[in-house]
Amino acid sequence: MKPPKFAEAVVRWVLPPSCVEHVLGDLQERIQGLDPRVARRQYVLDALVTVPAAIAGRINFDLRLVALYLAVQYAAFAVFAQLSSESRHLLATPKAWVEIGWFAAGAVAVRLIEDAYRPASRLYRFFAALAWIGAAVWLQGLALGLGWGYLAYTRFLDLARDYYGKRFAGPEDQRTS
Amino acid sequence: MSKSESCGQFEQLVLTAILTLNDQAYGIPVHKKVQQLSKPKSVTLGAVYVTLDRLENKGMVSSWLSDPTPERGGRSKRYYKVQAAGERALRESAVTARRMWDALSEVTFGRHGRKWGEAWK
Repeated sequence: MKPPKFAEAVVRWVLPPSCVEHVLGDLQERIQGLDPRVARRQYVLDALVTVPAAIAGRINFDLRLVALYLAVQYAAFAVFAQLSSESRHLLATPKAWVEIGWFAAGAVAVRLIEDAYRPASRLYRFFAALAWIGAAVWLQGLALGLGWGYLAYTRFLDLARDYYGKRFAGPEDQRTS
Repeated sequence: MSKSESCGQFEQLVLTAILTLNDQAYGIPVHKKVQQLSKPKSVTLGAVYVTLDRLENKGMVSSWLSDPTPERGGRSKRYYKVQAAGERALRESAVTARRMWDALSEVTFGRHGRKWGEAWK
């Protein structure tokens, strides 16, 4: 009994490369000897239950690592939001922090799902996780640097305006002020 | 003394299934064996995959792909083998379960005049 072509193509496309071969084989073996109509339905049902679990199994879910990802991502988003002059005042409200939290959680979820599609080598996964943290920290550092640079620049402009404003203000201006 | 990692109840079932199947331990037979062992609870193939991957990450199980077979549409089987860490963890779990069983049967032996668990036979 051959599995339904469309369902098989979807399963092949969705599954991480490291488990395509044996999961497809197991799904096909399960429908051997069944009536064709029952087999087709059984294949789809099995695929619906098995594929998400097979993907989840490839995710290296370590709670400490996930917490670290979340913290780094959260801080990075907060700093980026701080940089934007329009959204800076929003960070004063708890709602904005919750919204940033959603972004951070989304980024971590994408990172975890992406992890399932990486090669199975533990060494590769370890360095990939390190690279991800490094990139987030680097971006955060860059954002901080830019933020401080921007603040220093605006502060300098204010000081310069005050200094030169007073110095070049004519007698008329001083009288009116 | 080496530090051994503990394993959950479902992981113990999967390890037992792999050990009993010996050189025939791949997805489908492991799933069937786990279903037998966990009766009356039903177990999905997906749950077995997740557990096998977790055990492999813990270093308790190793796996390899066989040659393709025609009855599976020319696809390979992924065979599993229990490693020393897995055997150690399973043995420790069995010893703990045995101790628990002895303690419970001692209590119920005194109370009911028969061994605990006989009602399930």
